[in-house]
Amino acid sequence: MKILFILLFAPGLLFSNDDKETSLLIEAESFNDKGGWLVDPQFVEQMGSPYLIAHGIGNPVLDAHTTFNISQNGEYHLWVRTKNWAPGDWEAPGRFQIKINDHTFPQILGTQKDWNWQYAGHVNLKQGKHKISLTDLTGFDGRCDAIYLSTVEQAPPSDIDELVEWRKKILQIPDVPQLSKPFDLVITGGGIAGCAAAIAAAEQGLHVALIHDRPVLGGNASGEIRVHTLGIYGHFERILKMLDTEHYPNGSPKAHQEDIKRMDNVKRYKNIHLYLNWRAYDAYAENDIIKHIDAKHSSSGERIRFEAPMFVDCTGDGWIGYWAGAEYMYGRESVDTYNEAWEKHGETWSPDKADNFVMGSSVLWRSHELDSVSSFPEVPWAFDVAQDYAAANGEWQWEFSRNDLHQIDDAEQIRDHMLMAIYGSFYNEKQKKKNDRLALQWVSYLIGKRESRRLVGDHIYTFNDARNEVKFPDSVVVEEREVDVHYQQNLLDSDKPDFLSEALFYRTGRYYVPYRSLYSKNINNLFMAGRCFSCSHIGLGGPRVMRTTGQMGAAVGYAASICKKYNTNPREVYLKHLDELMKLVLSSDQDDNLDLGL
Amino acid sequence: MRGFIWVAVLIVLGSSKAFINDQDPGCTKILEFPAKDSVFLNPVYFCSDSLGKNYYYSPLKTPVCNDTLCQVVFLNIFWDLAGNYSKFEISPQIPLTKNDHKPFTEEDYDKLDQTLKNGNSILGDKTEDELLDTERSRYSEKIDGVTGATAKEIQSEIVEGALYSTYTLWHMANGNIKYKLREYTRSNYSYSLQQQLLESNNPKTIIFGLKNMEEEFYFAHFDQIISLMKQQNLLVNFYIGKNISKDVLDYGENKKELLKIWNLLDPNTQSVLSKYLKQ
Repeated sequence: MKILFILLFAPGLLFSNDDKETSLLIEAESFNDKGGWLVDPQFVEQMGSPYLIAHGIGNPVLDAHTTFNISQNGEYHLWVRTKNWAPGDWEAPGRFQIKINDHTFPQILGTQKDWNWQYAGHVNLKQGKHKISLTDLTGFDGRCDAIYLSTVEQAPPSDIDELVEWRKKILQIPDVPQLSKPFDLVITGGGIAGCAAAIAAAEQGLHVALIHDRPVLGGNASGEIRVHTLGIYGHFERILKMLDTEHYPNGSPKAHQEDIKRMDNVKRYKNIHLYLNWRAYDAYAENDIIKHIDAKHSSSGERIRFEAPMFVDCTGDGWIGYWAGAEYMYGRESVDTYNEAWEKHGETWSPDKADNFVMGSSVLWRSHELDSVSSFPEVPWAFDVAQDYAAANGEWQWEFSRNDLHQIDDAEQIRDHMLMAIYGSFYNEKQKKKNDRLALQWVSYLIGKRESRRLVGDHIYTFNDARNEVKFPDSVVVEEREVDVHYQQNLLDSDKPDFLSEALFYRTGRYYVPYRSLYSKNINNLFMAGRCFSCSHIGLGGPRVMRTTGQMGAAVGYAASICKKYNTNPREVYLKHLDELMKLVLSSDQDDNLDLGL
Repeated sequence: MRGFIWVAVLIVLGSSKAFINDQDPGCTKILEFPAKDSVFLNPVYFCSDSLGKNYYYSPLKTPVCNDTLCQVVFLNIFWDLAGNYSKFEISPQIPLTKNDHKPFTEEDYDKLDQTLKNGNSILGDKTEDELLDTERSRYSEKIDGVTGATAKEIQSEIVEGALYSTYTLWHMANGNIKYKLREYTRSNYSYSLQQQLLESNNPKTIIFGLKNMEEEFYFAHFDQIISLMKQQNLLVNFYIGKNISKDVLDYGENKKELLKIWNLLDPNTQSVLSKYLKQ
């Protein structure tokens, strides 16, 4: 069958026809007017695409609209790729409808388990321009990935691998991005570590690309997730003060002010090329050297190939290393692997046998008192998780990890589990007489991860480096915060809900992270900074907070400048140019009286 | 200041009634451990009750001091065979008192017990210097002056008005003594002790017992492992799930017995056992 593909006005909107079939795929994230729907690109690697989510915390969000052209009159069947995120013996939480022009399809969408194409109905369309709208019915996180119209009653593929290929074909996605851009350094991930790396490298004259999949910088510290920054500045006070936050309670809207400060400071650097809303999706290595990484715009679908002699993985999940073939670790090592026992806490600290029980992800949230009485809808789909737990806000303890759930592969399930916990607990709290004016104020829809893949470097940082306060010749990061490792409360008390954690603190003096933990052992031009640096599960417990990961970023930014100067790689900087690196790092000290023990 | 505190301790000691020791006759003294910051050496006994159940016990005597005065606290503390605090008793003649010398209420004793049972309490991570929030202060009738207010993060862990007593007793009950008692249990390990450890309600105590078990036990007492798992203690079940071997599950009817309770198991435990159930 010969199919003619014609690109229409809006990206993400593709049309095909031949004498038998006319069809059209509209990517929801490319809608011209998204109304109150939000673009959620967190789970692209698992479910295939960014999608629109109606995150109205119980209040239906404004309609999303876009227009499309029909080339041929006919009867069109319509499918919507969606998901019921809390299936069970109740009405689905995220229900919505589709409207084309003035015709609302009666079929309620968002009601089928798992990501799949749900049939919405059929409609006669005439040649010309039409308007399509998404109408949210609940405000409880209905989701729409794409809409497919076809004159033939044949749904697109369900299988994720087939769907990827089908999408490539129908959207005419070339294997190679049409646009390539060269830089001195490409940093992926605009959290505190990525921003610090960008500033440090830019100050040394490098042309830097900073790729980030959100509209604001800061990652877990951003106004979208709202974790305050902890740790000390180490040698990088001046840089980190441009990026960090006050010590307000987690979840505070003050995070937005810090976003503005951070963005203004990063934008001041002319040689930092900021790619916001761009998400990397591949890294290609040849002979253990990354040649380029490819990224895609989260709404428009445009693609760019980023080329550079050096790359920094600040994705948190270690995606760049993973794609390039870097060695990595995941889960809790057995207690004997690195001799990390702390008898006081035994299995909750470090287990006899390795497992996948990493520190979990949090979804922060808060409520507030209104001037008048407010209502909150019934949420029967939330109680399998929330049970009878009641709360009015959620701090860091709202954290979820389970041995059978992977913090990357199952991230959407983890996020949705937390949403059920939050909505159900708030509903329970709201039933108390004193709370008739209480209303949800903010619930993040982005998960704040603590731990996922850890890329392996020349040095694996462990608990013993912290408790023995080991000083290294290449100590570029210094910290004095407790080693702080979490476990799920229900492990020790089965009556506790599964979405709350507890922290175990091991006190130590100053400890140091060596430069050798900040570049890959087997990918020769890859640095890493952030929670994906080279460490054991317990080793991550201390330096995982954001001023400390910011120190890592600044250190690799400087190291990258030395790589460029000598046309060399990260390991050679340690072997041949360590004095120069340490001089650069120490020159960042703003406080001459600060004894950092080097 | 320290000299003044010691004078206060001796005065209180001299005036107090002799402490009544109600220890079980089936007790053997096994060691002594010092009270916090003091010369008192507290004996610790290994005991058997009338049913042959074993436990550790100490008639504890320790000074509790804040910046301005000290008192001596008397308390019988009991630990289980894994050295985990299990309960306390007080002599009716010598109740615990608060800063203002008012005796503890029943609620205060319950709160103290609850805090002492929390081996992970944040009190374990705090030095005495960190107990007070120096930016706030409050009035104390007893010492006729202003004292620091309890640091916010530990408020939920302490008996109101008895900050230093709670803190001191937590460290006495949950400090290094725990490891000495565990060592004593290990060096006197027997089938009887093992059974008692596995019959505990405390998951940490059960895991202490499991860690001391040879694989033969899983073969010989699989019914007991199943009984343990039925209690649905998540940490215990997860530990069993990770440490049980394929050989044990392939033995006799063990796999069938496990399948019978499969729906009682949590996702963590199921995730580590499911590989054994695939044919």
